[in-house]
Amino acid sequence: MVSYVYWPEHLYSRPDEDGAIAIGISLEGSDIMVLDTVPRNGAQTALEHPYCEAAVSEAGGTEWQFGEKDVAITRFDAPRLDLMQFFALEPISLTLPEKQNHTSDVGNMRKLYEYSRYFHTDSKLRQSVSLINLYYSHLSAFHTKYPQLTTAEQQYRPWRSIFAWYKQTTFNRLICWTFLHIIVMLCTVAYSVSAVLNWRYLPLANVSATARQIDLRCRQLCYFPVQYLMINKNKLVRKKMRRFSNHAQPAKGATRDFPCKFYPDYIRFYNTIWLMINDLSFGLIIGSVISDKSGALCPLINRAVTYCLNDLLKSVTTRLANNPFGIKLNDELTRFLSDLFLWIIEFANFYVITPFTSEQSLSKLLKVVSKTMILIGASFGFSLLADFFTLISLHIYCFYHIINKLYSWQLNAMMSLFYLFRGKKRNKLRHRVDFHSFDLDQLLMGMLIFVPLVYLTPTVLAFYISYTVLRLFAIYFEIGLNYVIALINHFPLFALLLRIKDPKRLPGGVSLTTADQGNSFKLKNNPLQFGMMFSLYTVLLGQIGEQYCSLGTLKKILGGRPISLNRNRLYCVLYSSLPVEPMMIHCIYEELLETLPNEHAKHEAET
Amino acid sequence: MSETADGGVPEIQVVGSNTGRRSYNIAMICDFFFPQLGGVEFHVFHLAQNLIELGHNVVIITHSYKDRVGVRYLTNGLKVYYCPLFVLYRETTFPSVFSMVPIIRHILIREQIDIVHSHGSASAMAQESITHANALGMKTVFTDHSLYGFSVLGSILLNKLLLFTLGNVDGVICVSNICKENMMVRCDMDPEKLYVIPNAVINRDFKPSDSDIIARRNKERITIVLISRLFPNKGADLLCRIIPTICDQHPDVDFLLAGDGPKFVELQQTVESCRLQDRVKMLGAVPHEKIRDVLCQGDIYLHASLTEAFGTVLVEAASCGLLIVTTKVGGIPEVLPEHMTVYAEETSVSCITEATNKGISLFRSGAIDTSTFHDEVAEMYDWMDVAERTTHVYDKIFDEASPDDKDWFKMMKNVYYRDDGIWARHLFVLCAIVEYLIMNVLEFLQPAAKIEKPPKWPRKIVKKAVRQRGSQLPP
Amino acid sequence: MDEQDVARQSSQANRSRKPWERLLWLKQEYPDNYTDPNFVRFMTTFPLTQYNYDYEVIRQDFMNFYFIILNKCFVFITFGYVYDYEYDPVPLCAAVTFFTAAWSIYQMRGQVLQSLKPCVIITFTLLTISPVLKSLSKSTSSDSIWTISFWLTLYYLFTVFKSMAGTNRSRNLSTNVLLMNVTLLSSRLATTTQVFCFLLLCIQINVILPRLVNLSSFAISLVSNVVVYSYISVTLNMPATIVFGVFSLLFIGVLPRLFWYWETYYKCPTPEVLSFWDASVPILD
Repeated sequence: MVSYVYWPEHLYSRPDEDGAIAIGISLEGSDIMVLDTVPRNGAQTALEHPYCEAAVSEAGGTEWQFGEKDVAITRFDAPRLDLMQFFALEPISLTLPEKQNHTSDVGNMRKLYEYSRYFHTDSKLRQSVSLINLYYSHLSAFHTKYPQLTTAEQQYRPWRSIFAWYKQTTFNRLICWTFLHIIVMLCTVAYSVSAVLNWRYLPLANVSATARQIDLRCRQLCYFPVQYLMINKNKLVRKKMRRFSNHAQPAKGATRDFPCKFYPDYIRFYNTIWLMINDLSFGLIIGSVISDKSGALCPLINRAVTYCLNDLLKSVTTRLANNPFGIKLNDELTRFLSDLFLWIIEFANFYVITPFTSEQSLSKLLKVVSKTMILIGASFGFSLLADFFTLISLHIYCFYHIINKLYSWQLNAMMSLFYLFRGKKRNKLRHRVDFHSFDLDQLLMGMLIFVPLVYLTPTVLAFYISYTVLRLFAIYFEIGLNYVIALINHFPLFALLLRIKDPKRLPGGVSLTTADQGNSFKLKNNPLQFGMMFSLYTVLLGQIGEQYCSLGTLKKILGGRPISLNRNRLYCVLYSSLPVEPMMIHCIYEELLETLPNEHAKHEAET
Repeated sequence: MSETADGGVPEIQVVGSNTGRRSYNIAMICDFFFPQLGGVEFHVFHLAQNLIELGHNVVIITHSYKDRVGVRYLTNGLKVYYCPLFVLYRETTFPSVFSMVPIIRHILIREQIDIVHSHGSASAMAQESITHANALGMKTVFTDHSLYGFSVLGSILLNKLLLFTLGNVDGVICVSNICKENMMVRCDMDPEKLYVIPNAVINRDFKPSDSDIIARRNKERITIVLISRLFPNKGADLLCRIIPTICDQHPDVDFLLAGDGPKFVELQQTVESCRLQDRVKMLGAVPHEKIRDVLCQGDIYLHASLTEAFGTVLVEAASCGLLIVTTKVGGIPEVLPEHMTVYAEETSVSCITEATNKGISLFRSGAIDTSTFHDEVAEMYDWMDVAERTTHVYDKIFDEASPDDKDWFKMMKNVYYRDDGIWARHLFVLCAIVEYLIMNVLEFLQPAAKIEKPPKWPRKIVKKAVRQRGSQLPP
Repeated sequence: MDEQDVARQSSQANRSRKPWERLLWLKQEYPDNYTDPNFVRFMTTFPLTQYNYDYEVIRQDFMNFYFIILNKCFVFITFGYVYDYEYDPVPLCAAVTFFTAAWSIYQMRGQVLQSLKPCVIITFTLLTISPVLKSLSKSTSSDSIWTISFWLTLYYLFTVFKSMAGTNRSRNLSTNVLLMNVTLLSSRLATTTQVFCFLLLCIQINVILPRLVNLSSFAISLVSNVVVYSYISVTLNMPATIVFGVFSLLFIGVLPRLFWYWETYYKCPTPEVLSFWDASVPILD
């Protein structure tokens, strides 16, 4: 059995001429990690558990001697927690843990994962990695305990003490107190707005893109204090660590995998703030462009809307009424349907399209949009546009639902009557098809209804297909707009920048490579892959494709089941960095108060 | 032309010093294999396992099942090739005459196969690969698992096809005597080449546990078990009438039905219209590993099938200690001794009802001791026995082989005289010629010598031989 | 497979061995490729089965089929009456309805109230659906309607043929096909009254009456024959009627005899042995 010794890269050099001792530490269930090397002559101190002598080098020797025979050295770059570098066995997740969906791994793979034989093998590595992550903490603890073995000297930093003094002043406390209460008030307002928008009986957030955008911002606002607390808890833990360093026992329970737990919150928090600022800057650019070009844009939009939503629909409907492609449809039904739809188009045109898309009202709209973009961000402007489109394409929605209902009724009736034709009937209670001998009058009546329905099918089908295609195009357009909004709201910008700046802060697992011609291993950080950062978007694209553009959709259309644009489902993937319910502010108020500086100062003074 | 068709006896490896047994490289080819579960699948698996026990190398070639593509190893290093082929209907590959040549040839040469053993006439893959293996000069064996009539169009076509594919086969194994006779008539085969080796069951998987026996003894009511895929040819129409009659005549008899099928709804409706829901329990499809549990809940097993080549389920039921009431069709009378069974002479409702009544009264009077059934059945059927008999067939094939058996011209002649129809015989010969041409082209594109040979799985039998030798030494 | 083989096989077998038994569970001292000698003997001397058909049954079946065809002809006759000749269908409809009602009352005696409900339902359904049917296939050409009707008629005859052996389920199917055909034809008619009367007539003549009266009774068959042939002679001409008559006579008189003759003497007698491996037929007694 090979035992592993983890060795920091900066200590890994040839031992001194006159011999040295490598001091190691090992906690329960982990391998030995070398903390420091001390010269051999000075150190005669007996080391207490958990410290030990990991390796010794003789005077004049060139190799480290280990106590055991089979030892593999694994070198690592000591992660600096204050710079938020750390190792993690699993890729850190940029979404909330409860929102991760495990659709990707299939049954057998999961069985393999959960099989006990494979489950616990990495526990030693896991313990060692969490030990490595706390290298500097353990080192300082060691130095405090054995000052005689310390080689390096602590620097004195004057600005630190000034900062500490400032933190204890009443002025600072007052500022913090005021700031905290302003935030609490803001959060309460945001919470109530979000609650109103998600009112059970009229969930505005599901209907309108703008409402959803407002809701999103409110939720983010409500979540900020929680995130702040989580990030701060991280700091608190480290403070506690320092206190532990007075004792010989480095904190064990508190340190278990803590960086991986709280660090993603940090990323999410700053990602959200970055995105908001980004949103504003985009808004400034696009908004000013729009207000600049509004004179040219208005007639263009007017023409496009009138063509797509009025002329095109009219021509389709009239063509359907006049034997399209030589298919002979039923005259009476065709006339009825086309009259109905033409009437709706006229109505919509008169009351909705014309007033809303006249050049004056369009220029007003563009003004509002550009102002919104400039003031509160591009995403709001886009959601206003999306809502506007929903409003003016309302009649397409109506057409689709009318004809869909008609078609599904007819299909359903025909199915049942076809069963009757074959002497069967559907047993609703048992979900099966039974044999049944019908009475003569039942048969006669069924057949008399069945034949006209069969005759009318092509007519209804022609109308149904045409309007479904129109509806689908409208849906695609809306999805496109929503996708742009989603990109602005949830783009993993911060993570991307972090990945470029310092990949060690974004661990996506570890890798072991051989170094030194195979004499030792090197523990390396695998930075998070780009694909994983964008996994949400691929999931979303897949979902959209599955829902609106696949064989399943075609089946759904032919089966007469309604196709609807469910904003909630479309967006839920992207809400992944927010909790399901916004948090009530009074739940965390107490905890927020605790973070105020006076509390800390007192606390520290007592200890 | 006949370069690859040398047809010689392969290099025979002697395993151990004193066994003197030949070791073959065997390829079992069948469309039906794990993860699908059924009679043929179990047969192939257990036979392969026991042949490995006997020191042979076995690979299985089947088509892919969903994401199960490529090479997999099962218990004891049983290597399975899941070939990506087009599945047509009910897990059967598309029946084309030559489409599988490249992959089958590659695998057979790669694994240095001596014997190709195909299973099931319904499997297109099995039939096709027999012709390919013949063209490659390998010995071929075919196992048939079912009976085919002569009046249905489907089986007429199948018989014609078999006539072609089995033209040069070296041995055919049938699961029962009636199956053998059927084969004789269908394919006009030499009876010397037809062997009867029955199926078997894993006896320990069908053993009533002590708690089952106690529960059975303490029960006052009689439970009749039926396990059947409810198809018309499994006697589902008969069951629809028998069950209400029996329930009517005996108030203390319950039914337990396992199995799904096209007639399930009809049977369910019958049960409902007779208001027998609390006496007739319909379990639907039951996985094979649960069959034992179902069987052990009953006292009498009722089998109303209209055709049956062997009837493994009867053996399983008897092994679980059930009295068997069955129709007397196909190979059923050969399967179990008289004292375990009550036969219905005709496939009529009255006859089967009468037989069931007789079974119930026998059971009630205690004239039959079903507790010894398990041990008796364990004596009769054993997979190791099947494997040994199969090995004898292989030995015999090699012993009696003549060097020109697999000569292409001779095989073509054989095929030509198989059928009297002028069209059929020319079609057969055409197919044979195309087959040989393809083989030559493939030999040019992918020479047999260049195909990489994989290492064999380390064998258990060697250890056994060493131990035997060790025991001969004086202490 | 010939007897020499068997003889060789048995001579090779040791005399002292137990005789071979046709059992799989028994471990026997015979090779696995041993062939049952009884089977070979059986195969060489299998019995040829002769089929015995009762001529009377065959004749009756042909007759029944003929009457059903005649009955089906009434659909076309009624249709021609209304569509081609444009006669007023109301008096005819009233007469037939009266006859049906009277007959059913006479047959059912007192269960009139019970059968009233379906009558009312059917009548009202017909009244509702007639205007819809009238305009249903206006834009479709007549030829396509005739074609569909032709195929439906063939399908109807096929289902009737199947239901001769018959379960209740297949009889329902044939009624459904007939109704479909009738509804299809009715969509060609010009006025609502015509549609209503045509449907009512067809339902009564083809669906209700065959259930009440015996089609093969002398009076009914006479009436059917007279009506059909006179219609043909009026619509087409005399020679056509004669041709039709000859054909039907052949169908009733000669064809059953021929069929019987062929089945008995010319059909290749199937050896019993070949049906030996077929799935046995369930006897549902």
